[in-house]
Amino acid sequence: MWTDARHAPNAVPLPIKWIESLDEHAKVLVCVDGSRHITDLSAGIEAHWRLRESGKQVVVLLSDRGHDWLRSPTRQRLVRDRQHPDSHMTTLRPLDPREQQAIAELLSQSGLLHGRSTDAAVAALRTASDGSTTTPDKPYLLPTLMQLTDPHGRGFETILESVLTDLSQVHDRASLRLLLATALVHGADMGLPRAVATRLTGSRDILATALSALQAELQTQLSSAAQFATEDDDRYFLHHAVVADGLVSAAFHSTEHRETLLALCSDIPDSVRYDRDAQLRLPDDLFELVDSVPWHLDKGLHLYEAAEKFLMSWYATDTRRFPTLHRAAECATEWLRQELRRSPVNNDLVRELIRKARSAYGRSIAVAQEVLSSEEKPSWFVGYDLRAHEIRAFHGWAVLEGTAAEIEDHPAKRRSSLLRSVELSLLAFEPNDRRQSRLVCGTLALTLINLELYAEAARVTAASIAHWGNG
Amino acid sequence: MRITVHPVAGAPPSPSRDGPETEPKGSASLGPRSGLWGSGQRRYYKLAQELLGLYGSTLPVRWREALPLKVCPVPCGTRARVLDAHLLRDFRAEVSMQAGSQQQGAEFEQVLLEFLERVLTSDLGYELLQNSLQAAGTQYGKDIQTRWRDAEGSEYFWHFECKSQKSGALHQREVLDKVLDVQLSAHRIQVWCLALAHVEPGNWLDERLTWANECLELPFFLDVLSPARGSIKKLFECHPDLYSRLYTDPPTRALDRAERERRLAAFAAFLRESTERGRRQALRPCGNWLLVSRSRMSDLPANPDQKATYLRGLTPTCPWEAVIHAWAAERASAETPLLSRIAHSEAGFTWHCIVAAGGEGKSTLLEANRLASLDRG
Repeated sequence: MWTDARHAPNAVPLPIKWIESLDEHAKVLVCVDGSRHITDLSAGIEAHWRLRESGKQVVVLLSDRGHDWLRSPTRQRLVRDRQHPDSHMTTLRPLDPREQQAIAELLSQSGLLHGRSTDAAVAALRTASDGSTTTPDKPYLLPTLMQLTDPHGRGFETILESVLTDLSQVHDRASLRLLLATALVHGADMGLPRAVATRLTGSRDILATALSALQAELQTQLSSAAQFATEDDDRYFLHHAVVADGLVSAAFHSTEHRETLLALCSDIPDSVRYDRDAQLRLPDDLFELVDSVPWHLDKGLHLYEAAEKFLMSWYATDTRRFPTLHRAAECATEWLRQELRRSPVNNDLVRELIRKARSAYGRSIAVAQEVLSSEEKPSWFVGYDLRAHEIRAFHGWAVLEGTAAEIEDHPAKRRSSLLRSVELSLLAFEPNDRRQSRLVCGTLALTLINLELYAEAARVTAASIAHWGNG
Repeated sequence: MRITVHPVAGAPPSPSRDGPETEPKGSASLGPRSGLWGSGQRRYYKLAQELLGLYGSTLPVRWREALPLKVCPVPCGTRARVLDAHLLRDFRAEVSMQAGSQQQGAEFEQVLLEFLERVLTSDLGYELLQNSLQAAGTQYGKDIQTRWRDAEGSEYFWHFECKSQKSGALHQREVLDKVLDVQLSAHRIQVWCLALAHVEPGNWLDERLTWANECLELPFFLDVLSPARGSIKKLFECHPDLYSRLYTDPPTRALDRAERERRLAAFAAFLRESTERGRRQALRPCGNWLLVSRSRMSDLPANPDQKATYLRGLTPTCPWEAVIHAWAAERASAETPLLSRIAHSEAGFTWHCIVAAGGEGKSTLLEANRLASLDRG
């Protein structure tokens, strides 16, 4: 059995009743492409002994991108209470030399190498495969294939930049906005709803014109008969998620298109506000969209600025959403770390990011306290644990202060930041949570070392090991 | 002591409906909330069974609804039981009518059982694995269970529900309740067959059965064997002694050999086609799932444009054709360990996740594993 769960608009439950109705000793291989929408796998686990007694063998084979899998609710359910969840996971190995040769020959036999030799293709595939071992999250195979088969001999990034540049000169950039909006959403394994596309372009007429221009451009640039979008369920997709990610990255790193992309990061959350109900609650599919896109920008593409912009725009549509504010704070912290790794460091930007993250953490705690203690809190916050939120926020903030201290030249300011980190770590301390306690003790010990309080750091470390183990 | 049972707690029974106009001394009213409602009902049915030799479940619906309202006297300390004379008269009349109908139904079940045994073994040469009548009261939606195996080794498993009424339309509950029973049953039949000796299912039931086959996602096929569908009367003419038992009179004419063989061949085709439809219904995809079979995959044509699109990485999802028509290079280094895991999995439920960046061939690998698993059976 097979399902493509990535593009399914709704939950796809495991057909466990159907499986149980099969003959004894039946063997079923269930292939699930993308784990986002598959549900009821726990029913399969519960049925394990019944299946075993009847001699039935059921193997569920899932596939997903690494960062999506980590976040997948399916993973959370499957690995619960298991000591070694990663024993069920295989990271796809890069192509070995024989496989590189086979692909190059396939391309050559199909006349897709456009004058390049098979050996040159093998060499390109080898370079890309070897590079993938050092950066396993970065796509290499599909970009290399696009590069090898491009009739004009362009690289992957060049092809995409060329598409963006051409579109920026057409029709007040509506087709460029449409392409980038679709890319942002498709990268998160979802389709851009037609209603959202209409709002982003301005009107149905503009959308129709933009669509034709876009399809013509992609046809010219990629020489591909593949359609820009499948409209059967009113959602738009690109050729592939890797192409979508490539377009978003290309736009983000280009001075010409960066502002268009960042503007879309603000406009997409803003455009779905009209679909909220009286309680300001979004329909499930749109909630998933605004929830998934910043996650993908943050964890998948590491485009923290775009993610932070998206989250802050989403927060602006409903200022009770303290979890969104918290995510924006974490995003700003990651962005800060990324900036600190650059050389030379942009001190103004770094200070701005510290200010942003501090403000977001502080506000998220204040809003959480206000919303969760209110009798009129939205229904989706019922059962939300304020203490759990505070622990996460205080800990994140403590890490931020420790990072901020690293770049302070002024000793008093540096010490102040470190002391604030100590204070926040103590606020984040939760003795009943083993993992959290170890995390807090680790941060606290590092901060104490930075404060040159070595004896205290040793005491915290020893206490942590004694109580919660050496994690 | 006289006990009066009525359905609403606290509401006294109407003398004109529920018993004699004057209640004897010592009578007590029992309602649902008294806690004795259930025992009152049970006591009545036990009494009815003993007096009339019936099981409660065979009572007509209107009787079951009416009975708790009726007077049910049980004198204490004696074994003498008296039913209201009027009630008893009606009850006996109903029982007599039902008994006749049941006898007729039982005869049809027995005749069909014998017919199936003869036709499946002697006439068609199949190996009969099971052919049994269900005991009364615990039928779970079937009267006869029949399993057989044909010359190619394919097994057939049918349930027959027999209806022998000679006129009028079948009551919907007589059929659809049984279908529900069969669906809840653990038996994995291919066909549930409504066998009608004399009448046709009628427009209403015909529509409902078609709808149930299309829309209820039943894992078996609902079919009808009647004078018009499957030619039951003509089939029984192949065995005149059985025909006489079922239709009272002997067949109007003796069949010649060719005609007999033609009718039996038609019945064999009916059994085969319905079974095949049942198998398809059991295996049809549900929800967003696609059931993959070797034939389904090999039917896909090879399109050169699609091949180029796939090899350039310009498809949103991986087409099956890529694996079937070998557009994708074999990834033995990734595929072999997974296939080995699948092959060495023990019975029960297990799962595995392939993780990689986008566009690295995860979808292709899934499909390659699927194909390889099909090859390995």
